[in-house]
Amino acid sequence: MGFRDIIKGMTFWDKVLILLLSGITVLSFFVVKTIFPQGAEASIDVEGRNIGSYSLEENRILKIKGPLGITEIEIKNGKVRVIKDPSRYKICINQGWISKSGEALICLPSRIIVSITGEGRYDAISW
Amino acid sequence: MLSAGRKMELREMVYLSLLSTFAIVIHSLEIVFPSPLPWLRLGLANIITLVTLLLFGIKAGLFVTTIRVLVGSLITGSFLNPGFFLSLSGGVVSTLAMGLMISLFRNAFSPIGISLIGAFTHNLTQIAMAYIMIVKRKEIFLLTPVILGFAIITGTFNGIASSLLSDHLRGIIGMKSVGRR
Repeated sequence: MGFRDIIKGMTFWDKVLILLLSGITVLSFFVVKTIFPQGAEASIDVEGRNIGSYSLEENRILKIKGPLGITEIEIKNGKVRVIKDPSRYKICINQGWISKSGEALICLPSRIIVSITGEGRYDAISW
Repeated sequence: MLSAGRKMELREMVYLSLLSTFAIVIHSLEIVFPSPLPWLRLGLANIITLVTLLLFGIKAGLFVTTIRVLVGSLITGSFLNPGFFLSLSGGVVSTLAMGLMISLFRNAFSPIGISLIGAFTHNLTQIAMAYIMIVKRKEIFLLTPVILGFAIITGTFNGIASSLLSDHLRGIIGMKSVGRR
C-alpha cells in the first residue's frame, strides 16, 4: 500500500472531520480576535502611583489632578497627547501624539506619566 | 513449552517494548530538533502511539504513551517540569481520544482522521494545562488558532505516516489476533 492508496483510503468522515476542524480553527481565530481586542491602553501614573488605564479606542479627554494642578490628556483615534499642563516648559505637550506600545508622555514637574501598554504582545515565553 | 496464549502475550510484550523504545527516541530527538516557534512540535511520537492503538488496542496505547513521557523526560532532564506535565496530560488525553475513536467508529475514519483527532485533543489539552498550571493568563489562548492550524497539518502528516507504518508492521508481526479488540 503506497502513499496514493492512503489518500484514496480517506473515508467520507475523514473529509468531514478535516472540514470541521478547519472550521473550528478559523472560528477560533475570530473568537480570539473578539475576546482580545488589539487595542492598546494609555496607562497613567501620578506621583509614581498608577491611577488606571484607558482604552485608546474610546475618544475622550481626561482631567488628571497632579501636585501642580490639572493636566488634560486627550485620547483620540488610537493616539494620546497632553493638551494642558501646569508645568513651565510644557515639554509633554510638545511631545505631541503617541500611539505605540512602550511610548510615554512625561510631565515631570506635574509628576504625571502617560505610557502606552498592551497590544497583547509577549516579551518571552519559555518552558 | 509455553501455551499458545502465553506465547501471544510474550510476543505482544516484546512488540510493545520495541514500540515504546521508538516512541522514546522520537520524543527525545524532537525536543532537540529546531522548531519555528518554541511551543510548536511536530508530534512525531504520536505516530507510534497511533500505530500501537491500531495494532494492539487502547490499553497498549496508554502504556506506550506513559512509558514514552516518563522515560523521555528522564532522558531530556525534564522529569516533573511543567513541560513534563504538559506532555503527560496531552499524551494521555489524545491517546484516550484516538482509542475511543477507533473502538467507537471502527471503519468510519482512516488513520488520518484519527490522527487529526489526536493532534487536536493533544494541543487543546496542552493549552488548557498551560493555562491552569503555568501561565494563568488568558492571553495564552491567543495561541489557539495558530496551534490548531498547525495541528491540522501535523495531524494529517502523522496520520499518513501511521497508516504506512501500521500496514507495514501488520505484515511483519503477522498475528491474526493482533489488532481490533
